[in-house]
Amino acid sequence: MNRRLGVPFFLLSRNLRSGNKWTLSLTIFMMAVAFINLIFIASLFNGIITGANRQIVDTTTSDLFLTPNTGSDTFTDVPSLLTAVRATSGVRNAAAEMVVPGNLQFQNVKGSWSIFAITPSEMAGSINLSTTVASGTYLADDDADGILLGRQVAGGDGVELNTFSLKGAKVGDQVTLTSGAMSKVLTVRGIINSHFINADQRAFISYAALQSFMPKLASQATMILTRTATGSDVSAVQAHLVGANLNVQVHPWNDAAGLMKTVTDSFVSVNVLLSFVAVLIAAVTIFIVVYIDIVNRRQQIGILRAIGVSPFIIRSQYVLQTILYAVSGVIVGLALFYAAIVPYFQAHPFTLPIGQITLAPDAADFSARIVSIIIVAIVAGLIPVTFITRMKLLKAI
Amino acid sequence: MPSKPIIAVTKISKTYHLGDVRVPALRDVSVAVQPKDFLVITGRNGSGKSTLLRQIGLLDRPDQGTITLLGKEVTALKERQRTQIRLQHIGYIFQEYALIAELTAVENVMLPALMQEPARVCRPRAIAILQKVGLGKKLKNLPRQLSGGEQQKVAIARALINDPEVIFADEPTANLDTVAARDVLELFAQLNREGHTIVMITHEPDEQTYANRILTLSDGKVV
Ligand SMILES: Nc1ncnc2c1ncn2[C@@H]1O[C@H](COP(=O)(O)OP(=O)(O)OP(=O)(O)O)[C@@H](O)[C@H]1O
Ligand SMILES: [Mg+2]
Repeated sequence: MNRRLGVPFFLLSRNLRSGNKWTLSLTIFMMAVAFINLIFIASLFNGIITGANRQIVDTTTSDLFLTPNTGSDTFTDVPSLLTAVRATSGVRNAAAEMVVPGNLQFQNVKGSWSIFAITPSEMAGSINLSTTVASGTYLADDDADGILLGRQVAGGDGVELNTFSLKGAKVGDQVTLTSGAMSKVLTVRGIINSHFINADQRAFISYAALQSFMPKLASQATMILTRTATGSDVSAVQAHLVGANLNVQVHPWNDAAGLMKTVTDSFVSVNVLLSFVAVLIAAVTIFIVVYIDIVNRRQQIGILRAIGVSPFIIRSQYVLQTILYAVSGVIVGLALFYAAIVPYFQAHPFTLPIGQITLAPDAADFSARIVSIIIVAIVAGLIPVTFITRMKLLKAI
Repeated sequence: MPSKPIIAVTKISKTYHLGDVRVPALRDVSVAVQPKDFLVITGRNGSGKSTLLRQIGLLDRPDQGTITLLGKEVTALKERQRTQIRLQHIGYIFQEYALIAELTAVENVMLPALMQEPARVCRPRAIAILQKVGLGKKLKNLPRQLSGGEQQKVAIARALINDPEVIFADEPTANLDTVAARDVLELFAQLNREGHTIVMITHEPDEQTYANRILTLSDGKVV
């Protein structure tokens, strides 16, 4: 019984020896393309989803953010709260931000954006403000006359939301912050460009500036942005913070993902659909290749059956053949993908409103896709072979 | 007193259907073949010779009647069992050689044996048989690198590899010149002397001299 299992290998090896090398290469290439198709979309969506999540965390919420308990709009004992949060296990950094009510005016253009007061040196440890300064400088803690503008607030030619911006405020320009009857002239120190359009619609001043302008607000905070230590489990840190009885609400970053979450959720279903199409392409490719091969060898298969080679052995030969096509296709596909496609998109990322997106391959997800493409290939190959081995012997000869 | 027949065909009929047209190819054919017989089947074109051989060679099933091969009723057997009988007990030789184009002479010959034994056993046996039929120097030739007569000898060697009790040959010399044809027939005569039962179809009257029995068909009936 198991002796006969050598026969399919024997037949396949002879089949390949005399077969057309170009046809073989082309078939494997087609399988590689189908497989790349299968993993490219998944990696792209994964890149978009992880990219979007990363941007939300890095620009806006940090890993965890704290809000006041219901009943109050702001934290009032900010220094002691920060001390307590920083002392919690797994917390690397905590920084306060305070919403500043008001609007901005540059020359004769006026508008309202989210304006936050921060302690610049502290905030730099929670979100990436200091590293996304595209022109000018970051704020100093004691800078009472400076302001950082998001790229979409400053505006200018080529800026996505120029129409709704200050239309070209530059580093060194003076803008006026007005809140009720109070107003203060500030100098633009730097322009922030995080490539995340939502995040770049904000402006930042220091608590020192707020102190000089609206001292009552300068002792308050609307949110504490908390960075967890590298490698720590964010939900464990969240639990620690909740357990610390700080009388605050502790939110994971994705509580703020809102709109992005509905977008990423719909990517998941599009991904499933496109993956299905890619698998179908692979299946049809294999079916056609095996079908043509079998039509060409119909007489030979008849001869094999006539001399006593069982249909099982003949089917096994073709199963081996489709496994060879599929596995080679996967290997070639993976090689092309990692050697050419991933590096290419790393060098030329997609620019989306959420930022610069590259492919994010997910090895665990790939293994499921590899298994599915091989299984589908085997089934697609078995259909024509089974058909011909079920056929009456005389018709096959 | 004849011994128990190795093949007993009892009243088999076979009708082909070509669309609505019925072509009766065999009608109530009965024949018994004794062990070590050299039976020649003859008859005009279209008389049903190939059809008869295919029924007893287990390549097809009759519409009616029974066939007993080596003491076993075979018409009702499952395809899997019939495949096994073809492999182990029957050597079938076709007019057009029916070699596998991708396999060398020795690989073609060893293939049926590979279904039962490892290559290191099959290969020497295939080589020995090819030497016996005079092809010891063409072991690695592909079918297209062999003459018609040589290809037919490879096909005969393949039919012999599993040492079958019965050898069926459908006009094995039809595509060969007289010298090659005589070679092949001498080979059959030798195999017959060595104890193989042979059933061969031929048109040539002088080939009938090799037979110890002759069956003539006409219009699907035994004459
Ligand atoms: N596959 C088939 N389908 C339909 N009719 C067939 C088929 N094979 C044979 N026949 C018909 O059955 C009859 C017997 O054919 P068969 O091939 O057995 O004759 P034969 O005696 O071998 O002839 P030949 O000497 O030409 O080889 C013929 O009328 C033929 O046309
Ligand atoms: Mg015939």
